[in-house]
Amino acid sequence: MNGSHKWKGLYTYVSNPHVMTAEEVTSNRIIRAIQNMGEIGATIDELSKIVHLERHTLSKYLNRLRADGRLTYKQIGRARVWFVSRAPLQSIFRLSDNEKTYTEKILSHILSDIPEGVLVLDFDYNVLFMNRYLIALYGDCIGQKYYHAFFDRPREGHNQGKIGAIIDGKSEEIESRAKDREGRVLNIKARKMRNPDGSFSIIAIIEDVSEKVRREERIKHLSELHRLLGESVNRSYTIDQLCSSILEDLREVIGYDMGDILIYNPANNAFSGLAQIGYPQGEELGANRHRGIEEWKEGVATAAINRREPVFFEFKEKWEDMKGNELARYAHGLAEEYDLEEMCAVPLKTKGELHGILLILMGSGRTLSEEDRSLIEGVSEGIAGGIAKIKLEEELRLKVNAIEISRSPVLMADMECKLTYVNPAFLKMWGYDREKDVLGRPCTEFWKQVEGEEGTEDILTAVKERGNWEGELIGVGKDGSEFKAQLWASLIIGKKGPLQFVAVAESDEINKKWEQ
Amino acid sequence: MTSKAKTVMIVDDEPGVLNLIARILEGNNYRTIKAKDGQECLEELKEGVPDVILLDIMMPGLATQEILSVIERDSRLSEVKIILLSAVHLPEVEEKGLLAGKQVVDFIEKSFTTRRLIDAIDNCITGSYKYKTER
Repeated sequence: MNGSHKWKGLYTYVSNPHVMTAEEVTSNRIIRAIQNMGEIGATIDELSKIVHLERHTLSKYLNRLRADGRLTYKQIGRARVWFVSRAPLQSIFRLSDNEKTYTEKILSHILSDIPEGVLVLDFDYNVLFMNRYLIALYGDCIGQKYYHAFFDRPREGHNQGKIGAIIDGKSEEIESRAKDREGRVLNIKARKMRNPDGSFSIIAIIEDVSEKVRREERIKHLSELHRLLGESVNRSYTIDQLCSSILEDLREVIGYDMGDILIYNPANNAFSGLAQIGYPQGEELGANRHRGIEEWKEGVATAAINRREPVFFEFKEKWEDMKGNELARYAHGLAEEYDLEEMCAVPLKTKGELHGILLILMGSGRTLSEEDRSLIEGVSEGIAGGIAKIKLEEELRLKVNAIEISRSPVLMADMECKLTYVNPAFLKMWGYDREKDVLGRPCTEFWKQVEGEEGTEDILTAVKERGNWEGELIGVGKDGSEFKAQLWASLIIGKKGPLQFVAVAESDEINKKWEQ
Repeated sequence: MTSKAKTVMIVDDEPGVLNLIARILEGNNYRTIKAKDGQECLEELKEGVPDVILLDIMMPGLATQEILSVIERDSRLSEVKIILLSAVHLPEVEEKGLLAGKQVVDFIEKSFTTRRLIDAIDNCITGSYKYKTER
């Protein structure tokens, strides 16, 4: 390698010489002669003497080498001073349109407009060419060292896109990701390129994938959060269990300092704080101070509920802008109490219904990144969905309790008329001890028709046809005893069609018997 | 079927629900008109005016709001009462503003009992609307 020049040019390293034609030999002689002249370049007269070619022949060679991008010239007065092109591709962009050949014009358009970075390096990390995409990111770095221009490093290292592996001869091509001097994530695909004269350079396609990586990270975190959320919903029986679990999961992914989930009750427009995490322990808060904190939190939560969208507070950065805002008093109270840098209040909303507020508090010197904020917003609907599910389950359990204590027998049956649910009053009236003795059996085993009334089969047909049936029937108990009963039956219709029968029974006869 | 029988138009893209509700209402002495989507509903309304429309709000094609607007603008249909049927919860329907429609008198969330359905239609006919009076 020729280390005497800062610029070695694209064709300096002839590491794999091949059999050259007479033309190539002459061309190389001319290039070497110009290189030997150093930075001052060479006129045609000077070259003519060195390479022993007639001026006319030499002119033909020079113009051919210029057209190939290997030589360039500067017009000084009436003379042209010839130089070895340090960045042959780059020279295409520096020529005016009049000076470009047709091929050069097409090539310059392609390279300039390509939506990815194109970079050519020599084997000493010098940047020989960069296209418009890269110039927009780094400015014109032709002639600079790749590791310095892109990574702000004084010398080559392993974290600079692994291009060193090609230069060291360990790989013919590489693909890697590296963070540049601005923190951008670059996707780098590079390979060894053999030049027409047998020398080598490196061509790299570079893409700024920062946004893509951020999206991937966000999706990864969001998927992880949703997975954890799904597990929490499956594990939890009560809303406070679920909320505590959510706060812990969220803290694992986003390292926030303190957090609360406040459950919203739209009936009285009030909140109940069911879970919190990260608050200082061991300190005994006076009743007034405790009330104050709760009031501030509820004030912030109410404002977020009214806005129906997340509210972010930056106490140090943008606090001045917020003063006088309806939220300022509450938010400021919390900021003072806990020495906060940032806080956010995110409504937990799903299917149009507000279920609560997620409060995230960041202590002094700690901030939420854009990705964190985006993640919190992204997962908020999932949290609301989990709360809604558990809430619904709790409500159902309460309603089932009401049916369980009812004195009237209640039964449900599938569309084949087999029992799927009975309450304790049904078991008592029909003389059974356990649900499992009756579930799965056809309803028709538990009653028969009253003489002169519709047949028992007709009750179910009637429900299927008219949706409802009301009337008297004869109940048949476990021991074969019979009793008169009234039945009110209805059909339940679901999203796709009929789901179940539901019926309520009454028997004055049995009731009187129990009363005696 | 007497000439006094009231007419209910059922609009639902789910054939299982559409046919079942029609059969049940006919079994309860209502005349029925069936439509499988909003477009068919509006076509049928050109032919005749029902007393009540049972309108599913999660159908492909025309948006519910659009169907409600067309009905509202047609003076022939000003006396028609509309009951919304939906698998989504009431808050979401409220948020979409669907209950604000002048002729919308009730909202039935799927799954529902036929008792609830027949009571809602009976109330429409007699003028005692559940949803509007509760508001």
